[in-house]
Amino acid sequence: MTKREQLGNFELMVMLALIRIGDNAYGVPISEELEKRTGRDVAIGSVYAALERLEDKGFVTSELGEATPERGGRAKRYFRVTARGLREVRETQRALVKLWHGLAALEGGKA
Amino acid sequence: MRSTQPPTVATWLLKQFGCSPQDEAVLGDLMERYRHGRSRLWYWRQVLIAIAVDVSRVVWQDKVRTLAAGVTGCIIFAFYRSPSDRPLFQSISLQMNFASMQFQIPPSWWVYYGMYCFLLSFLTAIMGLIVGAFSGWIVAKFQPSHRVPIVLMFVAFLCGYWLFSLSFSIVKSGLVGVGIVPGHEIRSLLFLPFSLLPWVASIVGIFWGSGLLEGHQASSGT
Repeated sequence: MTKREQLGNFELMVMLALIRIGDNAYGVPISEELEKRTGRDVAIGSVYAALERLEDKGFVTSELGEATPERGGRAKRYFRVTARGLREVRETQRALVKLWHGLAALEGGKA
Repeated sequence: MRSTQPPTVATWLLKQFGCSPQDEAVLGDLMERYRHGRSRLWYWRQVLIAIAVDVSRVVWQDKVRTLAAGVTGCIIFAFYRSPSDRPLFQSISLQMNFASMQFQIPPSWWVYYGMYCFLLSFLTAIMGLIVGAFSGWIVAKFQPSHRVPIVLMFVAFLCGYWLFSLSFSIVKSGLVGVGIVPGHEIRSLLFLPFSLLPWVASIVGIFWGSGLLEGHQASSGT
């Protein structure tokens, strides 16, 4: 049986942020989206480490964008979810929903 | 008014010790967010986390080689011990400091004694620089393409060992073990820079010998 590449918790969050942002996904909007949705401070270094792993797994692709003076002349790196990445997110969602289903302790926000 | 330029030292640290090909993009993102109102403290925190993430990722991929490099570097340092059974690099000046206070050198001699301690500390620092440079050079040879994380881990090993040695010395002999003479605490503290100089010189030597003080291109993951 071949080993399937799976998504870690933070990787899944990054993938969801990427899907939500769409075309303009580079470090700043991704980290801002994660902070907005989770209410936690996010380290940009950790976001890039997760993106690098996702790229190695074939779930995202990246390309260099334009350099702006606001960024000290440094280019942005844009990320995009691949079809394989999208499929993996759906698989993970299905698995999580199945695991969630029927757990009385977690229903109604009691836990 | 707050400067629009992010902390220069932090930026330099990430350029120098970051080892991911994405670090240029990370620096650009950090600068963009800094200019949108994030604090200097936030910038520093982000840089330190980025370096730690880069280093831990590479070290995890190459655990055995990193361990071997760290142990080899520490063995090189272990050969360079101070004469008595004291922690590594607790310099001779501390022991002289202790001896002089025991024998109560007359105050008129303190200038000469200070000069003597400075010379001794300077010589120990030169030795530390040489040993550091040699060990740094050897450690970097273990994995030239990933020398940054391996050398940083070696420095972390060594600092951990020094802290352990100092703690052991304090537990064994109290503050005298680190050169703080009871009744002469303030005067003893004046010798602290003399004692720290060889340690600092060793670390600088490691970075120098391993080539980390030169500009480098991120090499991992490519």
